[in-house]
Amino acid sequence: MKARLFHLWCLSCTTGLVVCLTFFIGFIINRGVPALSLSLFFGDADPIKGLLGLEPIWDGIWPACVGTMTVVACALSLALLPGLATGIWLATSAASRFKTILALCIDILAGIPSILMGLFGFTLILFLRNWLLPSANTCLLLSALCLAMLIIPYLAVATRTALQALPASLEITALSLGMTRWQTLRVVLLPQASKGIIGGIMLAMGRAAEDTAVIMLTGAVANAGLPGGVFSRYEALPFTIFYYSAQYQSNSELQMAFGAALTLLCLTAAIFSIAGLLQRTPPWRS
Amino acid sequence: MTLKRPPKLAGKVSNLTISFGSQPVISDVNVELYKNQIHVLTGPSGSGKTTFLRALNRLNDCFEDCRTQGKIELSINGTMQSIHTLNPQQLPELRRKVGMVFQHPQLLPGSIKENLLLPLKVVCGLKGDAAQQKLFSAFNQAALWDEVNDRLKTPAHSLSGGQQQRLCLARTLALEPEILLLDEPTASLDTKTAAQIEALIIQLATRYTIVMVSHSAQQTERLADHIIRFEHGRIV
Repeated sequence: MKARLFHLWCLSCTTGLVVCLTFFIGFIINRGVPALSLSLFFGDADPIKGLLGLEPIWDGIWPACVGTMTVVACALSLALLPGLATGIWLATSAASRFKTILALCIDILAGIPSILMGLFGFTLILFLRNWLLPSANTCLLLSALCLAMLIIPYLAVATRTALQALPASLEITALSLGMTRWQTLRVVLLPQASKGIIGGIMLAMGRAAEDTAVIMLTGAVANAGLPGGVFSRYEALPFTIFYYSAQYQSNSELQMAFGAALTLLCLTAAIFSIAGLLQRTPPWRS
Repeated sequence: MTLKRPPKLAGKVSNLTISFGSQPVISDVNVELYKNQIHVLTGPSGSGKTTFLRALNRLNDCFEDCRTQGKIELSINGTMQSIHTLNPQQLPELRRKVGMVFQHPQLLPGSIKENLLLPLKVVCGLKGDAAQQKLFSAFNQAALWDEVNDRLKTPAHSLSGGQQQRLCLARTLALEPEILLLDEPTASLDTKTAAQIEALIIQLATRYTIVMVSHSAQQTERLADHIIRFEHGRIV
């Protein structure tokens, strides 16, 4: 009887969640779809010229789309190597006190609220301005750096988990055939764990793309046009949504916020779907 | 009357003690191994046979809490080498020369062909025709060529248990070892396939020194030139 009640409780919770999610996504789609048009992305500018950067876009979200993609790409390129390397080290090194402490640090880093990471970036730029580089300012690179710190734990944990999920006999077999530890890792373990690792990279990209707190303190602005370089300020989708919805003065501006929200939702959903597809195939068919 | 020449010494293990954590698995074991002979390790489960086998190619080093004491000398490349003093950089070469086949077939990911070519490429740096030649000769030695030559590109796990075990054997043979360590190579096989592998082991003994683990008294009787019986980590 208790088990049955518990099962019913679990079922109702799951159903409640699905209903909420459907309502939420339905609401975004309902409000966002009417806003989807070329003018949402390019405003009054010519789409081709806007795409090529030949004409400035003032009332469209295309610069924000490009800004988001650029900052995510920069953050990923900064976080990829340290993240993967940390994950590999955690999965392959012998148990030690340092390893325990590092694993704890990664968990703590994963739990740090993103606003704190943004505050760290802001403080860093203040420090640089006061002591080393008077011309330093919040910019795309600073955002990417802070986002990189935010996603390093995702990369490290995904890599560690993917490697640890492989059967231990695989490593022993490779070593027994005369492979060095490096060869074993490079030609046997990493290719086998690649699906899990790529899944982790996608999740990290999704996390970086949807974060607002970090970028609003470190370089994202409401109007900057297409990103002019890593040392310039830029527009980003999450900040655009925040700005339009918090400061809207007309219904069309609110409508734009919903259009931008739907665009961001599609972007992150696409990234998470690819991650899900990659993780669905088992990495090791025994 | 012809006198049979005594076999040459292929290895000597002296006062070998191995423990995992605080648990001793092998205590003060002394064994001599002879060239081109089949040495069968027997004894109840947990008596230290596999641990002894793994000591010969220092595979126990892969286990963090393993401690090994004593001397292990093996004849490799015509000289007696102290295995117990090798540094970690020398272990890959040792493991190539002292090849091992496990109780259950341990396949690498990929096709039948890739299972054999990957170690050849990575460990020996062999590619192209030279690697193909090695592949052909190793499959022949393992009596597997006729069964797989038309499906080398199919996944290795599609083979039957006996074929997988022979693939593992071929993979080890391709690396040109001098000593073969076989950990219950017929444990997971039916009688007919086990007989095939046994015939193969007798054939391989003409070229390699073999140290194998067996739980079957009949198999030990059929194959062994030397029987080494373990009980509670000691030789009896």
